[in-house]
Amino acid sequence: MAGSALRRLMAEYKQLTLNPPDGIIAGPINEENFFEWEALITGPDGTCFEGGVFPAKLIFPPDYPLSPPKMQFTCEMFHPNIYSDGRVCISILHAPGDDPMGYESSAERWSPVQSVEKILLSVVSMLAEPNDESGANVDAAKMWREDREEFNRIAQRIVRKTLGIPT
Amino acid sequence: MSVDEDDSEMDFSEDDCGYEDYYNTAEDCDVEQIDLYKTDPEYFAFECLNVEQVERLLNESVEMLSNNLQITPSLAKMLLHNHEWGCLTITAEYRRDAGRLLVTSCVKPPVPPDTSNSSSSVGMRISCPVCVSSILWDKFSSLCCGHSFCNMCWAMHFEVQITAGISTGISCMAKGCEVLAPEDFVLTLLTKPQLRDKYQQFAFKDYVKSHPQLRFCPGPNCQVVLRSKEPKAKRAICSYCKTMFCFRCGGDYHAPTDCNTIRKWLTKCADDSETANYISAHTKDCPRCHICIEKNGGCNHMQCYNCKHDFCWMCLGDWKCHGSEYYECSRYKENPNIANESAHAQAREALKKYLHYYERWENHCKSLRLEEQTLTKIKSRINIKVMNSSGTWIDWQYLMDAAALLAKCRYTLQYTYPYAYYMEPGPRKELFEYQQAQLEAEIENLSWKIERAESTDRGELENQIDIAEKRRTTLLKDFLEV
Repeated sequence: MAGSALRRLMAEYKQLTLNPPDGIIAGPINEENFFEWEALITGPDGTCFEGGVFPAKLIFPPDYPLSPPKMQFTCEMFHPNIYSDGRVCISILHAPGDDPMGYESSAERWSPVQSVEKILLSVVSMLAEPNDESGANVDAAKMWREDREEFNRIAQRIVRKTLGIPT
Repeated sequence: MSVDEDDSEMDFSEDDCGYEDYYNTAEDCDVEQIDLYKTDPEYFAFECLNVEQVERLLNESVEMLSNNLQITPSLAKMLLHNHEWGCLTITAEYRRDAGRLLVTSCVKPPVPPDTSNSSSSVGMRISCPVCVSSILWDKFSSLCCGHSFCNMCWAMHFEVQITAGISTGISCMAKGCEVLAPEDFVLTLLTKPQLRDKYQQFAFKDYVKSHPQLRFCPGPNCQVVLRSKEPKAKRAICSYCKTMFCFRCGGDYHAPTDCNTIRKWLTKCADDSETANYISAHTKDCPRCHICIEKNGGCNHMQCYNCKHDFCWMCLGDWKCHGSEYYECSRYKENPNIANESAHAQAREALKKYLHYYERWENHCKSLRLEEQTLTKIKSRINIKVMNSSGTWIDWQYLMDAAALLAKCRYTLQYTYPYAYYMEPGPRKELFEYQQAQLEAEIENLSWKIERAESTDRGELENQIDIAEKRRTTLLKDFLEV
């Protein structure tokens, strides 16, 4: 199984290096192990995460791409769809039928023809438009709904932190 | 009735404590044959099937549909699974608009596949979008949606899905494509024998679960499937493991309460919503600063520890202007006019009401367990009596019958409490609680007499059995709605 997973990951890595999407860099941490990647995601313009550069880790299962990878931010994050330990909860990372929050029936699901690029693009749009019905981080979801100003302040502090600017 | 008629009367050692035994005595059967549904509110026709019998039953439907519509058995199975095994509805739908039926059943894609670039020649290699290997074109397969993937990737896809417990719900690998893989497609590409077995087991489970007339016996490790032509909330008993359950919801049998009410009751008893109710009933918010205060003494003159506000616990009014009206408050408590009382008082009243029913529910549940121990005692008592030549084994059988009936009556009595709890006050509730009280009295009477039965003179006990069972049946006749 891992043979075709490796072949596929190498192909995806090549594709991402040749045609990188805007604001996204991703690749294996160490070329000895293609099953652990690091990604850097730029906060989308015109949102409270604008200007930030957020590092994340992607762990691929041996049966990739039949099963989806797991993604976890390694910097501090405050977002309705990101658990406090950095794990990302979006529909594309769930197989059809696997619906822990029971809300994403119509949303895009994992399928073996999806890719790392598609996941990262979904994460960028998730940063721009949180889904406040999913409660990966309930406090963040509540604040996003009820106190947007305070939410923006926290996001700006995180952005400055990722850039190493004193807050 | 299909409940173990073949249980011989001599077989009394272990499994004789089932509640159905009382009904199976010969003299009852003659009467019941006339109109079982009228004489016995709990009468329920069902049969117990083993796996082969169920497979035969399912295959009959599959064969019929595939002959009717001239389609493959595999496709017939998909349609039946999708439409609660309603052969006639599927045939009618198919004749009316086959295309629509196949799309809504996820057999065909909503948009027909684009076949323009599928020209392939011998020896051509194409790249599989999943594993990105370039492979000979004849090693590719696709469902009728036309999304083509190499056979290796299909097999791996099935393996991942089956390992996750999915069988009939395996869909195409393409993004957003909901077309389902039929059984023959899966089994052609799946080569590992263990996975094929697993797939067939899971699919069988899915088929039984989607069939409105079939239920898996909920007993632990029991393979039996029960079948009834009218899937109602009635008492079903597995002939193999003797598990008794409600045919409709699969939970413990719960007459006279209905499936929804018992679910609500059990959730209520299990979750901590009552803790919130307790807090509400035993605490009040300070009328000035709204901090939560628990009353820890008898005096109704309260001083908030937070803002030092003095107030009356009963009416929450300011203590200073309270003065001589204090005793008004105390009377108010004695004559509760619940609709006009504060939210806290209402919560307290609600808790009291819940606890009233819950304590009785719990108590009968405990009594049932205790009476199981009594049953073992009765068995040894009978053995001693028979050994001492005071009556034969046959002479003492009535005591076993009495104990079985007692358990059956108490079981029903236990389940009358959730029913009563959710009833609207009114004459119907009064009637129900009257009958419930009557049943309870007769049951306690019967229990007392069974524990003290010392002779083979069975007249009095037989009489009591009859009264208790009549009370139970009357209550069910009046209130069991299926």
